[in-house]
Amino acid sequence: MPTRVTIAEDGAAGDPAASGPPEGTAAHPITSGSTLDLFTPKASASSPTPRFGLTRQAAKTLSSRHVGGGSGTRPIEPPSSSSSSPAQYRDIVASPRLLGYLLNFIASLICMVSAIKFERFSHQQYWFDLLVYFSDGRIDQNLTNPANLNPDSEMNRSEVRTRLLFATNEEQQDLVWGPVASNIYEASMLYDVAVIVGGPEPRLFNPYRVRLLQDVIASNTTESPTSGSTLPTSNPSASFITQTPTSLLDEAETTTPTVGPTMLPGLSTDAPTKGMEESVAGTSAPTMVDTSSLAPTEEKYIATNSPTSLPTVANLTAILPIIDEKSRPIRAVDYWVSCRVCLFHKYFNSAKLHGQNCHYIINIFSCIR
Amino acid sequence: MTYTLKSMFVSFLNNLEQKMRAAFILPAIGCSVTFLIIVAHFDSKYFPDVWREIFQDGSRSELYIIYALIAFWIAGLYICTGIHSVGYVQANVFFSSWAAFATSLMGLKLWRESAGLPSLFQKLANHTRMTSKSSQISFLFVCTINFSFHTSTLTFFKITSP
Repeated sequence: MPTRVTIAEDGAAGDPAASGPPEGTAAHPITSGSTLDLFTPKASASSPTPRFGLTRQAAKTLSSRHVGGGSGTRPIEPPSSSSSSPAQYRDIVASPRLLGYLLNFIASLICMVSAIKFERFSHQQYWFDLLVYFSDGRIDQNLTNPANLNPDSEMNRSEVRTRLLFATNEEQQDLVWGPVASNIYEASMLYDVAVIVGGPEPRLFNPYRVRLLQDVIASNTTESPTSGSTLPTSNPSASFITQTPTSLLDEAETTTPTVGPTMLPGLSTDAPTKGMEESVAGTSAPTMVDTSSLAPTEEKYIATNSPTSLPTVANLTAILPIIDEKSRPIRAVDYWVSCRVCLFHKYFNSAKLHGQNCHYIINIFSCIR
Repeated sequence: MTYTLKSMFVSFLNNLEQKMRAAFILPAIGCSVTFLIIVAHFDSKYFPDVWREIFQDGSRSELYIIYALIAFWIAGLYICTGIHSVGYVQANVFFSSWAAFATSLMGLKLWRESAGLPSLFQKLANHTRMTSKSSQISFLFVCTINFSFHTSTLTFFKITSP
């Protein structure tokens, strides 16, 4: 804000004898006794335009072209000058709008990186890989097998992926139930996988999962996968449902680990998934649990169970309250699914999981490894 | 032709896969543009006169750039934070998109101040109106409440519908 020097003329009017100049002398405001107001930006009502006949913009432009802050020692350069002085350069760099552009750049960068990270490491591809894995060959990466699709549905793979990504819990379950799962138990299990891998979605009470839990525990207690179990076994491709975590781990011990979907029965070998490749390439060593951050009971459990020991339902059940202390409450069926996830990771020598809600999966993985 | 363009536009909006791709392509474009602008401010070797003409106080060219940025981020807000977008489920994208839009508006504010023009708030405050300020705020408040209730009602019916 430029400081204007104005000379008040209030006292001069109306009393020429008191404040007027003596005869024969020029009228000078100071010598004539009028006050000098240096600080009041008083604008005359009769002159609405700025003083000296300059607008603010023109005055600012002139002052910006002056070198030395308006000392008046150098002439004003025309705006079409071909050479830029350092002062003009500083004017551009010191512009406050540059800060706005910088903030805009930072915000755009964060947005871009977050979106790329979400796209690259999002759970959608990972979820889909698990979905393919747990379907035991009834569905391939391209969902090309018509028998695996709901005949009433015309969804393609990308639609399934995007709908799974943005679907709510109920929609996810319906989506899994429709094109992929052959029975309600598989749908429930796949839904659990989606929730575990997917994100911190609130879980809903599902009676089917409770039923599945009861069946799994009952079948394991009787040492027979099918006796005492009400799980459907008519579908051979869905027979893995009746397998307990122990039997699955035994199978994992006797099976030579291979990379890619070739290990899965019925899966096409020429379509390795992107998520699996990333999983294999991303982590070469399995994740270890930092026992210093664990509760005493949990540490004791890990210490007393060597990595080579295989878990049973009993000791897996013992893990549950320990995990409950460290994370959100989970149900037994969750760790049953978690075992299958760990098995998946064991095959691929990877424990790269997404999200902190998979913390307990890593814990179980470290126990059974 | 018009129908084809319209159908392409509608299909783009409905295609979530493309929306996801656009959610990082669009910020990448914005990031590149602002980076070039910043670099141009510091260029004293190649085209200093051009940049001085463009980015000096009160430059119309810079005003158009700021307008373009604002329009760009209005579209970006829809793509990045709209329903079924990445920002719908990813907080970083959501807030950074709004931050980019806000900084674009801040650029306009700073341009007006540097050009010696009154800010938008001053312009709004000095605008001749037939009603009081409190009545205007009350009207906007009622509109906001009505819109929020309408949206939540739609969401409620969508959730509860079989």
